[in-house]
Amino acid sequence: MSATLLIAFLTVTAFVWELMPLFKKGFIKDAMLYLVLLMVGVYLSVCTILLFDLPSPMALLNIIFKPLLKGFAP
Amino acid sequence: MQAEQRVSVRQMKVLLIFFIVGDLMWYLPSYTAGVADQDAWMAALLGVGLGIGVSSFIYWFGSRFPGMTIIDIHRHVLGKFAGGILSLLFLIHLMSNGSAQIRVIGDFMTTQMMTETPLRVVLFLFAAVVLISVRMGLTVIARTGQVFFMMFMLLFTILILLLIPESEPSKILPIASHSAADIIRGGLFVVAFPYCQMTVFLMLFPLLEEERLSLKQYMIPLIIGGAVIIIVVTLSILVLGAYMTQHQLYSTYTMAKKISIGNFLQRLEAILVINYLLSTYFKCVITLYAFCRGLTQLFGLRDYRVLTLPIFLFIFGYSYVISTNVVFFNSLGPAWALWEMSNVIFLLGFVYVVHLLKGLIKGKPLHSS
Repeated sequence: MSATLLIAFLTVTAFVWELMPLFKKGFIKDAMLYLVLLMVGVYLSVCTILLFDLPSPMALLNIIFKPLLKGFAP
Repeated sequence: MQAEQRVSVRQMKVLLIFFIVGDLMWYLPSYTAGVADQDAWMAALLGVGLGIGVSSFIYWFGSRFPGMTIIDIHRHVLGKFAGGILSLLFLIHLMSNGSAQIRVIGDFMTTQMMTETPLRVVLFLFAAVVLISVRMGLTVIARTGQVFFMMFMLLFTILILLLIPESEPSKILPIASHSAADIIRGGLFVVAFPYCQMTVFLMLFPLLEEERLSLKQYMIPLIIGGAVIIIVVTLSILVLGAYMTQHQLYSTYTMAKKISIGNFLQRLEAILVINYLLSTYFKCVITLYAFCRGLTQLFGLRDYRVLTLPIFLFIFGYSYVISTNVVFFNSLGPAWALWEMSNVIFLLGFVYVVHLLKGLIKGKPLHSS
């Protein structure tokens, strides 16, 4: 619970101290990228803290390089 | 704002050495010995030779486009759209590498040293330290590197000297019992893991104070890093033997545990852990710094520092999601090595071929500036 609160605190801090000033200064592109990164970051962090199982994106590597792996892997 | 972040050639050399040594101490002996058994030292020797060749190509590629980062080069050669896609692939690669290094630290700490501590706590703290450093800027990172470099080299030398009495030359026999193909396959891990990852420095070379880093200056850290690789792999085989090196997840840590001078000087694996944390920290910081700068350049933002807090949350979550457990993470090694190599081929080789073709079609001299 406390870890979720920590993430919530960081999110609010990011929103108030960094994101809002970016919008106010008119740095729309910076603010939009910030918002996207923040949303994905918060989602991943909360999933991590609450131990939700997400599929590993690195499994894709094994699929992409499968033909080459037969000759390369130990 | 970013233009003031400059580093000297000397600082760049220190960063290069830290980057090459990085996290190799833990995984590289297992991977090379997994293919070449007791001939892993030959694989390391071959891999370092080939790796220096690959790094020289990366340096040469960067010097064809003076003052440009890899993001600029992609845009310059392939245009905004295609160049942007290649740059995005490069950034995904940097992000995954940075997260993987944080995960490596987390896995090691929670399986070997602090077994009761949840993995998430280690990941959170290490990611925080790394992203604070990234926010401080490259000058601060480079100066910190200089401060710790002598200690790093001293501890590494002490460790090697103390391990020499534990080594048994018979463990390396029979010499060259594997086919050349096996030794080359083992060597490819060495090429992939520190040397192909050096594409990161294409984001940092334009930040040098001096006009440019000469090839001779660039080669010195490559050779020092290569020597560390060969020493670590060879000592792993000599101290632990091929079987233990293959099957121990952290073979160098196990090796360091064996140090016992007169039953008095023991438990010196802490030296190795300090060195390991230092080198992995610097490798991770360099990678994520390049990632932040790359992201800023790709999207034409004003300052990368603003993005560090959301990137911290992102990297913390991603370093946990990247692998379900330590066994799966270790099994990713061969595929990851192929990814590193394909990055050099496509993000650099392919781009340079296109650049050459464009030059030939336009009938211009074959250099960019």
